Amino acid sequence: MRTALFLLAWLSAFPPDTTVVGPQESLREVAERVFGDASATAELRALNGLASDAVAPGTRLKLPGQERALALKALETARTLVAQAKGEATLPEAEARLGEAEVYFRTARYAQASEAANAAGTLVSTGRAPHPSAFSVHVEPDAGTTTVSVTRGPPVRVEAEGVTRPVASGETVLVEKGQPPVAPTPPLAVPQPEQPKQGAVLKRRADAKKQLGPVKLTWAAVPGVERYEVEVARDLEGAAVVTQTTTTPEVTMPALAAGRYWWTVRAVGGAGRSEPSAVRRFELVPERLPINVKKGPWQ
Amino acid sequence: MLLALALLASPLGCTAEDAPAVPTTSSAPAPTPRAHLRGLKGNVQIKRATADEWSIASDDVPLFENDKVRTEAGAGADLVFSGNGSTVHLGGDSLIGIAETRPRPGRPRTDLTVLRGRIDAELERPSTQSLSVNTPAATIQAGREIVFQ
Repeated sequence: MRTALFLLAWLSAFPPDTTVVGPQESLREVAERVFGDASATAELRALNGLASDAVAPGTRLKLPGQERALALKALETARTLVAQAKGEATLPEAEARLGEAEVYFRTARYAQASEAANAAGTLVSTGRAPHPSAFSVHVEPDAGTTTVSVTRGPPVRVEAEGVTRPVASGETVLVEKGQPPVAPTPPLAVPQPEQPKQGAVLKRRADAKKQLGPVKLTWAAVPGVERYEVEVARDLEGAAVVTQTTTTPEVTMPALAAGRYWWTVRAVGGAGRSEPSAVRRFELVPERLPINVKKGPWQ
Repeated sequence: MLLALALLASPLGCTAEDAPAVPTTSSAPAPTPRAHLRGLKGNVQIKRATADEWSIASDDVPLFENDKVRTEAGAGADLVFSGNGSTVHLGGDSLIGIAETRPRPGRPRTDLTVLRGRIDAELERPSTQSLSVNTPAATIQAGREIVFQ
């Protein structure tokens, strides 16, 4: 207890923008402790004029102020913007400015790092039409799990446990309490119907109950799928008359009454349910049986 | 000794954050609303930072720092932020706090804290607008103003 009080008093005797190297603590460990980033030793070296990573225990090291946090934010945003600026004419120049910003940051020149990062971000974002931003945040009743979905516009930044993750339009991130954001799961691709062709007229033989079949529906396989859900309806807006689940990209329908049908298929997997496929229509008509009249005396 | 000095130096009583949002004396400056509640649907209730009880919210009611809003299942409301015009739709069975500040060093203030339920946020001009949302698990920042200093 006495030792702890002494340590507290000793630490509080120094200004808040300094830190003291602990016994048997390396510069890498100091960087991990103060920045949460063990690779930030170069910043500590630059700030304190150190020639190497060797520091004696008890050495007081100067720490950056708020300017580091601002520069880091500017850098993170510039990285996101540059990564998303595919095919833009200003991209090479923006990448060069971002590279400069990274160097400035590593050498603890935070004001220059912010300036270069902002310039990089501006280069790839000016001239673009302004896109409204829309996103949703859902917090489960357990008061912990947070789901962030971005529906349109520029990326939204989700931070938890010191990890910041940009979430782009169409992406969803899940954050458990006390955990960093989980990488966005790409949404499942929408299945593409193959057979029967749009508007196909299918002739089938009627059974004893005047039902026609079979009809086989097929579509292109979707990677990462667990199952497919097929819905068949009697009209475009109506409720499904047949719903089937299958693990293969095809399904054979039970015998159906003659008439027109509309069908869609969804992929279902770990990433959730895909959007329904484009609607396909087919028509079932009874096959005409050939009439063979046997010649005989009764004619 | 230093610890004792530090304790003596700390302010006694309530801090500025604990102070009532609505001043009781005429000499104090009028508080600035952080947002307004609009488009109410169903049972929407509000609890002022200085109050202990929940009351039924009315349309266009101003919301101040640390006020709370809750909705019943099937209810909803829109929060229009005064600072930048960003809009947040509050869904049913939700509980939010306005600009709730938590004493976390180095963290910026937030516009909104979602404690339960769902919000849908819209920024018409994210290049000039920003919105910061806190939850028990994460901080969500939208718009660019928060980064480009």
